[in-house]
Amino acid sequence: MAVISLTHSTVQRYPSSARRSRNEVRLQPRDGGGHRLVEFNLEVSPTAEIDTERDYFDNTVWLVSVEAEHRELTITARSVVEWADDAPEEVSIPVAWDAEELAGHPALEFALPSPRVPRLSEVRALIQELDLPPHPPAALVGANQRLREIFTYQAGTTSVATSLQEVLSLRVGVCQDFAHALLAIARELGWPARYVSGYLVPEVGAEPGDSHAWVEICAGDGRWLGYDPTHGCAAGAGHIAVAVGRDYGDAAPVRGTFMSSAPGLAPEVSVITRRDVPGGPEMDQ
Amino acid sequence: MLAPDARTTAPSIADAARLAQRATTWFADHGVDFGVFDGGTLVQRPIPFDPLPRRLARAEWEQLTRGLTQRVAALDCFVRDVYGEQRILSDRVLPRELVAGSPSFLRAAAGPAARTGPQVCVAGIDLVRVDGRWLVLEDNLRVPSGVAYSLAARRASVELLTEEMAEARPISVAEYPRRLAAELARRGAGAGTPVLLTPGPANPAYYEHRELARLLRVPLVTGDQLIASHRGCWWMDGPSPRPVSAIYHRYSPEYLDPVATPETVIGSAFLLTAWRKGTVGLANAPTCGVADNKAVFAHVPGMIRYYLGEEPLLHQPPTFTLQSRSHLSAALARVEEMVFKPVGESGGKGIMFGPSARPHERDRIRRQVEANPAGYVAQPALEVERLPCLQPDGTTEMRRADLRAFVIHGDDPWVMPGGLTRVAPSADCWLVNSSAGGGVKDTWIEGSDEWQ
Repeated sequence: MAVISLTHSTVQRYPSSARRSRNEVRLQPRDGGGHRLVEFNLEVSPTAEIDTERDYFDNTVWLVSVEAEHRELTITARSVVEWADDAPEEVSIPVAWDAEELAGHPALEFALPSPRVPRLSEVRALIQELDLPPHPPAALVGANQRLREIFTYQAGTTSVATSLQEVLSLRVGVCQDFAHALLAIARELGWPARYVSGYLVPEVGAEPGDSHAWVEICAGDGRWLGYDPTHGCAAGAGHIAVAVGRDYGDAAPVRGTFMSSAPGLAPEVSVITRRDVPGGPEMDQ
Repeated sequence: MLAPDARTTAPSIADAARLAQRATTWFADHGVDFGVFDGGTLVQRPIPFDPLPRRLARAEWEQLTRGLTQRVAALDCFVRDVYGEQRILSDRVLPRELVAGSPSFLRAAAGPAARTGPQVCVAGIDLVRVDGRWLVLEDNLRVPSGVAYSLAARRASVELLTEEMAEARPISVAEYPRRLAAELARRGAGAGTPVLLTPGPANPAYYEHRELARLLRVPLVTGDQLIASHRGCWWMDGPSPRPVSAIYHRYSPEYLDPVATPETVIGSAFLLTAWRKGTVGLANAPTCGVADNKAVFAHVPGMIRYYLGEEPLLHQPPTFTLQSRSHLSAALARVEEMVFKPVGESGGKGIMFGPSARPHERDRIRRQVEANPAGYVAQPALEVERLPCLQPDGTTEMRRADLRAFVIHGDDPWVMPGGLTRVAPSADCWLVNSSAGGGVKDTWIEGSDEWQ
């Protein structure tokens, strides 16, 4: 058993003062997959009105309203998660779907195109290029493994506004772009596939980790199985899920608007994930 | 079939020409405008008004009324169900893809408010008469418009056709604002004022927004005048915000809240949040658009049987979804007999009429539909009833017409006795939509003791 502490901080600065900011915050880890949320709190500066709800995808959403004038808005989520420290998970080979059965299954909506993952001819070309086996379960596992052979992980080239089409032509990106590319391939192969935002559990003794994104496939037996195309591995117990959706748009960590005479600057995000010794100093807080 | 309408034709050509002139002047003087796009810019101009009313017998209307309230009751059940348990999808009465893949299935509206209480407040159901039989052509639940034009037509009739009205005694439509206000109040949360939310003067139906606000005696507001949070909604009336209980909105729901749907910049941030939390009422509920989809339309009779356990009282033309290869090739083989409608559009946008299309246009229809079969439905082109319309010179011309009936849904459903009769802009035109230049007529349900 390990205890993971997560701190996710977003600072939105405004060149001139802003007021009436409204944000939906999806930063609270989901239970399941071998972890349990034991503590969560959200700090907002300046003083905000805060409430919470579950969204369509059963994510916990924190609703943050700041009425008064402010020059910057800081939203900090602190979570403590208990993690059953299992051996690394093998990549699962999903049970194939019967098309007729999928057509009536609630997971169908994840097999359809979504706002950020439209149906593109480039995806079919990519599947050909990856030379995937014809059997859908094997093709999916192959795509998850091999996407990183033709895509380069590179921070700073793409942003949340970069379209899938651009990512597919640039062939560079970050975890979110890898996840979108695998979603597109999986859906093209007929799989219901959803986007997952969350965190990686840091290795013992490693540097603090970052936020992450990966993909879950709904298999023909109704089980959701995790795939991490950025690392070409399974997304299992070492992946702490925060929010799920059809694509990034449904699961964005912080999304909102404000009123100001000038547009806001790009938000500064910092994430620290740490593995703590149970009963150690971090737990005393 | 045309005889009852012909009765109102004025006795002489000169009188008829004068009536046509007075009708046009009345709508212009009263500013009964509808915006039409002219070379890319919206021009507000008086909606063409034909003074010869459509006249319907009371018995026929009462039959229609029962069918309309039944239909809207089932549609309301459908909306609540698909945002909740999705029983109708699990039971495979309706293909799941029609909801899951619909851009009008607004996931940001999901929550307790979408699963409880009536979602529909006003429904605009479009009917046509074919060989004397009424058929439903379209359901408008997202933002049903047009009622104010119908109310204006009645006021014009009172002035222009006083004698004819005294004789025909059509049932009054004046109850509409009271009924709407009552249902709006029932959807209200807490103390506060109801408001009418308009996108503003750039909306084609802005006349209607102003007019309904006046008739409902509620403030007419735009999105930037509202403040919302999870605790509710306020109207910035001067320096101090006033709490809002319920909003009769004229926004397509995906534009109501820029936080919920980042594609939009208009609306008011957290307005959907407030609605989901039950701290402000919205009419119609932002969930309703899912029922307007033309492919969903094909399944409304099934919904009536499923939710109400009743046989549909109103008929509708067969509607073919085109994902199946056999439907697609059958429809494309008979383009000249079919109408193709984009599943997600309204206002007549994108509709392609096979019968009136020239050969090269039919090829274009085939190409367009083949490229996106799921984006269209096909229906047999119907030779719908034509009504006499007065020309400026006093002669009449027979033009295609439909009837938009307005159903106020709630504990005590009510159908406005009459509705908006829409007529095509010319004798050879198939579209009656106002955005396509169509005009309006008053609709008289005859046989009332009180008339107005």
